[in-house]
Amino acid sequence: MHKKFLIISLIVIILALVVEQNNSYAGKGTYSSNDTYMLAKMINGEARGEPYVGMVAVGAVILNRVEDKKFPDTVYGVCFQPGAFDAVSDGQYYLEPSQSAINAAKAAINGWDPTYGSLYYWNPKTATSKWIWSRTIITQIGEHVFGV
Amino acid sequence: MQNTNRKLKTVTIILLVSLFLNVIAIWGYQRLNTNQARLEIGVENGYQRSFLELSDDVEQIKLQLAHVLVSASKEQTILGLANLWRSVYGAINSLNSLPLVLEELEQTSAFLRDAAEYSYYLIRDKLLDEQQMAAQEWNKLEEFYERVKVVQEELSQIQAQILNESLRFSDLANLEDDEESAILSAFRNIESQIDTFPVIELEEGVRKIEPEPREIEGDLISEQAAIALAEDFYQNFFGEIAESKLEFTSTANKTPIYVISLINSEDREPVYIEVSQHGGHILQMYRYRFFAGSTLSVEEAEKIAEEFLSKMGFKNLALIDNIADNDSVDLTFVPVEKGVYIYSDMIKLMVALDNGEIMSFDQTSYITRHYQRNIEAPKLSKEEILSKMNPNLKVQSIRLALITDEYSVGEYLTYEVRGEVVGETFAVFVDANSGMERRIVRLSEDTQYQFNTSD
Repeated sequence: MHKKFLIISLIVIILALVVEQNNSYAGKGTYSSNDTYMLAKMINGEARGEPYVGMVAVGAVILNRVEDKKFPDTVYGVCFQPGAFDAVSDGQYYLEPSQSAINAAKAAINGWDPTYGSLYYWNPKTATSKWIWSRTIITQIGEHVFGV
Repeated sequence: MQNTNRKLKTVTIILLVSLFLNVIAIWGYQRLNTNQARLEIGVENGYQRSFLELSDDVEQIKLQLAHVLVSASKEQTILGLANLWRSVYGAINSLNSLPLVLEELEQTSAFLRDAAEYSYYLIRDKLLDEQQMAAQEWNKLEEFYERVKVVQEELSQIQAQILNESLRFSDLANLEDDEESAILSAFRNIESQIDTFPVIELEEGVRKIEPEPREIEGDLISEQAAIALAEDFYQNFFGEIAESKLEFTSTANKTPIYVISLINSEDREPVYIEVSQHGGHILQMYRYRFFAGSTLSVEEAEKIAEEFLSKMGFKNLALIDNIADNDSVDLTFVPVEKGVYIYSDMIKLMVALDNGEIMSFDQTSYITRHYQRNIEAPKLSKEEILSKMNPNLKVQSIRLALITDEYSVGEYLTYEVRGEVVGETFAVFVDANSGMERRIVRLSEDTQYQFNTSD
């Protein structure tokens, strides 16, 4: 009897962990206000000088990675993956983000995605990795191309 | 005599001062070096820890798989699969904390995730439904076991090598493109060994799926026609255009698009518009400016959005979600047919709360998913559903909704029951024919903090 109860509670716990808990229908999942600010710092470090839609696109790529099974499943996991983003490697991530970066981060978290689910972006003029060119380009926004 | 004395004194002082400065400089330099070395050791320790956690988790995955293979009881099987599932997530987190180029380990991490998804599938679809696992499922677990065994053996070998030769993960970060590294080649070796195994075929229902977009109907339009459509759309609703140009043509996607940029005459702000190559639909529009606080209410913004949508020719749309902050509100609309909310065909709008302008618009989901559906009447009644809800949920509303499932193709007619529990609002989607809870979505938001900006 006791054992059965244990099993059932275990199952309940597993299911509770698994059931996707989007906090809105339209957004991309459960994110806190701290996640939004972290995303804004990433956008600021990675896409300063890009048009607003280019900033939303960078935020959307980070969140698409969170959803994709090839990448870590948290915003911090994706951002701090060693070598994944220049802004983290060179410390630009730690700068205070602009208001437009914050607005772009909010938009990305609320589900806006001009990249059609892209998982990568790079600047064709400065990209050093040969591997990155093996990705399929989906769109180009500002200085960045976006791909899967 | 006095003169020489004074000179000697000066020289001595100079000597003493320079000696003192030298000592300070050397001491400072050494200190800096020690600090630098400490920082580097700190970083390396973090990597070493992640690596050890990875080996440990992979060891656990192997053990749990063996545990499942040996057990004859359902309880032990579920426990083994649940532990396996947890260890895989641990392993993947550790793998993602190492300074390795992850594209090179794609097969390894993909196969680990497959093991997790497969074990979750077995718990969810078989064991919870009181089904017995079939021979083919045992075989699949055995296939996973063989691969994990290889990874585990390789990892413990790398660990021995790291211990023996004091290899450092930090060195990987400074590696040139074609430089050799013992750690890197060891990981590459794992990847190539996994590559030699045949791919484990997983049945439908194991992996999460995204609903496929439908191909957009309509004639292929030219670039010039797309620019003209974007200009018309903008002038019609928003204002005059100073410049317009085609930025990009994309056919890689299932939805081929033209990307067009416009410059608004009045404030020279850029506008981004996507036009579908087939049918020439305006799929998305983004523009931006600084907002001057909010003078409109969310309800007023909703009115503006509804007017815009009816001018665009939409009928029978209903608002399902609004997320507002000080500057703007995001509104999501879906079509309603025979009282059923069709969740996959979304239209999103962002309305500025200072002057009510529409700043962003996205109807991609609607255009690529909407079609005339034949929705049949639900087998279960509202009352039947409500009587089976969790008694802790304080029900606020109930309505019919057509939703997609994360693991199977197609759409399901559900009752969306909104209610409150432990101070949070939830929407529970209960299958209107089988009574099964298909999805639980939390609607309440977390605390919003005020954050600094650079401007």
